[in-house]
Amino acid sequence: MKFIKHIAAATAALTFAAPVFAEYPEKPINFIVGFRAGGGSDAAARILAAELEAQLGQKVIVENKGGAGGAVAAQYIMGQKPDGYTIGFAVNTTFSYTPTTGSVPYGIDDLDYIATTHGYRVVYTAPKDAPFDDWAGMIATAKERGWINYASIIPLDRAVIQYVGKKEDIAVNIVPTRGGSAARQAVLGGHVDLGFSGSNALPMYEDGAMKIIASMNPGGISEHPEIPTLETLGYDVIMNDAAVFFGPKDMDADARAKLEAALAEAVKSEAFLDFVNNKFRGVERYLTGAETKAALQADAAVYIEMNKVIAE
Amino acid sequence: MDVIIAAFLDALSLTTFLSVIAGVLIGIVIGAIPGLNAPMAMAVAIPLTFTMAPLAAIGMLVGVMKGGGFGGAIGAILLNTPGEPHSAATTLDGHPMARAGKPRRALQTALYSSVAGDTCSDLVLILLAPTLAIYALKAGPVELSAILIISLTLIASLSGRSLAKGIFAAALGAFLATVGIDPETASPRFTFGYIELFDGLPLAAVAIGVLAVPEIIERLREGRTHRPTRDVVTMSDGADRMPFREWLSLKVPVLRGAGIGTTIGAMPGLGTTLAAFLSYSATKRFSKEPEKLGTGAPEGIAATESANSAVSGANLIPLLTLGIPGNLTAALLVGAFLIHGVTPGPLIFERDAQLVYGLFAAMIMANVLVLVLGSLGLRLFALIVKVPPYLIYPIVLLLCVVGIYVSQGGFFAVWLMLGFAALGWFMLKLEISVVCFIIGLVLGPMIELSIRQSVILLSRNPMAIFDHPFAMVLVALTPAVAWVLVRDRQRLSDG
Repeated sequence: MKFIKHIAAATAALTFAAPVFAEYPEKPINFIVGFRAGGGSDAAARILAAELEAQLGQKVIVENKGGAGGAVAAQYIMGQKPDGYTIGFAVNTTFSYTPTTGSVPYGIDDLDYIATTHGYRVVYTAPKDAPFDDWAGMIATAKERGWINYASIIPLDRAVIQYVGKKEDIAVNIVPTRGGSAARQAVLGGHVDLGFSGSNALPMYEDGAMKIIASMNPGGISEHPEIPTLETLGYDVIMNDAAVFFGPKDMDADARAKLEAALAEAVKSEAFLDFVNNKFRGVERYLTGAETKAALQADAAVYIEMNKVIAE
Repeated sequence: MDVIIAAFLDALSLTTFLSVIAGVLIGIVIGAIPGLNAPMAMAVAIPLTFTMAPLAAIGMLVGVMKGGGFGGAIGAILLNTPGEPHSAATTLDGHPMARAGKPRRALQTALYSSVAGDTCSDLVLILLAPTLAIYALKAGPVELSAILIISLTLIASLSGRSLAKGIFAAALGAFLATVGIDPETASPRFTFGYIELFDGLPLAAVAIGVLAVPEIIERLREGRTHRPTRDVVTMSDGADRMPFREWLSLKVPVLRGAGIGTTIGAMPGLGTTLAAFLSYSATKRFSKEPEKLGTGAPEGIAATESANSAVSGANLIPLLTLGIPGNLTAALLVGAFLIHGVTPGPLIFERDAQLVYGLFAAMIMANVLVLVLGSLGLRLFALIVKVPPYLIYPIVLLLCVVGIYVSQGGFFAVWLMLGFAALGWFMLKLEISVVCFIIGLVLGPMIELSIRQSVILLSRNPMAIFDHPFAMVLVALTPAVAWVLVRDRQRLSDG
């Protein structure tokens, strides 16, 4: 009995002593991905998780908590301990746009940001036999016919096209579709005049299967300078979507700094660069936690203005 | 031609062969585990393929997809615990047949029909993909609405003894399917502040809750009061083996199922559940003994398994040629293509010809492997029925809980599953068709979205409806179909 007590005491002493000597991370990190398994966002998150493991020398356990464009994961992370052992992965608009719609119980300030790791491309597509070849032609068609049919995927693209409709005084018939592939299907089949799409449309554009008449990214599509952006077309809206690593508010400063540094290295890895540039066809875009938060606030200000114009 | 030969040699290489075998095994095992299903098996397998060569990786995932299709039938037939909504159609006859002491025969029927359906649709894919894709693309929201309306009318014949109860169950399912973000206005409906509900009720949690959990509870109650069913215990292996010749007598339902599955699969957005139930309804309508369906008729198993397997091959038609996935499993495949730097689309046959033909060869190989590995495993699977209920069902329940926890993201889904289990139990007691409920739940959102899309598209120009002759014909036929089915029903109840 005495022997057992000794062991227990020794174990207890070790356990209590451990934090003094051990450095973060001393146990596996739970990594909550705000998207379902199998998609492009999930693939990027898993490649980065593997790189983080290599950098930090600890297991990174990936768990998918998809739903509501990352909002489910954001809400979940909000309720976790800020010790650096539970972190999340979502996108810029999860924090910059979704809260402006008033449907989620969090805002930009309710979470801490670790880094932005890469950017997404967003474009307007049109069928290959559409009666117009560019943005001005699309507006002209809409004015002449009285309306255009538009395939929408997410609330933000819906809001942006409503904003464009207001500015140009054209009627946009917004057809909701479920997911990027359904919207592409509507465009390829000629069921709509215009559609919203991510980078999946780029190879189809290069193959001549569809037209791309504008991009929403500030700076446009680097390999296709002929595609204008909403900014160059004279609208003061953008869609600057990017992948964001985040954690609970008031995260342990040491843990946050270590994660940020590890991600800064992870985004330079060959596997990740190959994925972003050649497979996902996104953009390289690394921001620190502080820069990420500033970017989110800047974008949110744009979206709030846009919402005002739409509501007028 | 050189490309095709090179591609077949790629597919026959040892690494590809071994990865397809691994995929088929993963698929069968995960698909068979109650609470898990083929899309979950795919999601598990995708990270494993990150470092593999493209053809080995895609071959493995195709193996998982096909293995998972048959694996789902195992749980449905032996334990009455479908892991996906479409497997609910397989339980209708599969489980009664297994309970009647013929579990192996039921599994054999499912296996042969599943492989036959798969092979038919793979052949259509290989021979006709680019042509069919162009037609499939013409089906827009208006056409899909018309197809869904006439399908729902056909499926109404599955409502059981009381048409009113069947319609009630389907309406309840459709109503619950409205939970989530409104597709048009993006405002939450019936979510009661839970962000988890923004994307709707998690389908797997609801389906397993309503279909599988009440069954588990019933079996456990039975196990306490009864000895295990006698014929299952005393069944001899000889009597429970089906000669292949006997399966050939099911060629009509199998081919019809393959035809329905291939057609539905080629059109993105309709899906496996619709195909399985349509094929089942059609088989019931044209059966010489329609009253036998639902009591353990091999035709019922053959009809559903050939149809739902045929969907998976045909799903690759829009996927490969247009980059549009037809269902969740296909969407996961697109993700895998992406990771390996292959872009599905009109030029895939030129740009990645060797890989595409290699994929075709791997698909056929996977079909053969499902047949071989499935046959080898039959004896093993059928043993599950001999395990006493008080041992197997608690394990099954635990697997359901763990499966839903892992795949649907936490305890919220587990509680939902248990809540829906209570609903399922009451429906069982009140003889309200759980199957109709599931059909309403799965088809409800599709019908809602496609009709709302059609209304929006036609709102500015109603005359454009005349640009959709195919849809108009289907809508015009719907009342006639309803009339025939009502007449059948009266005849059945009179006779």
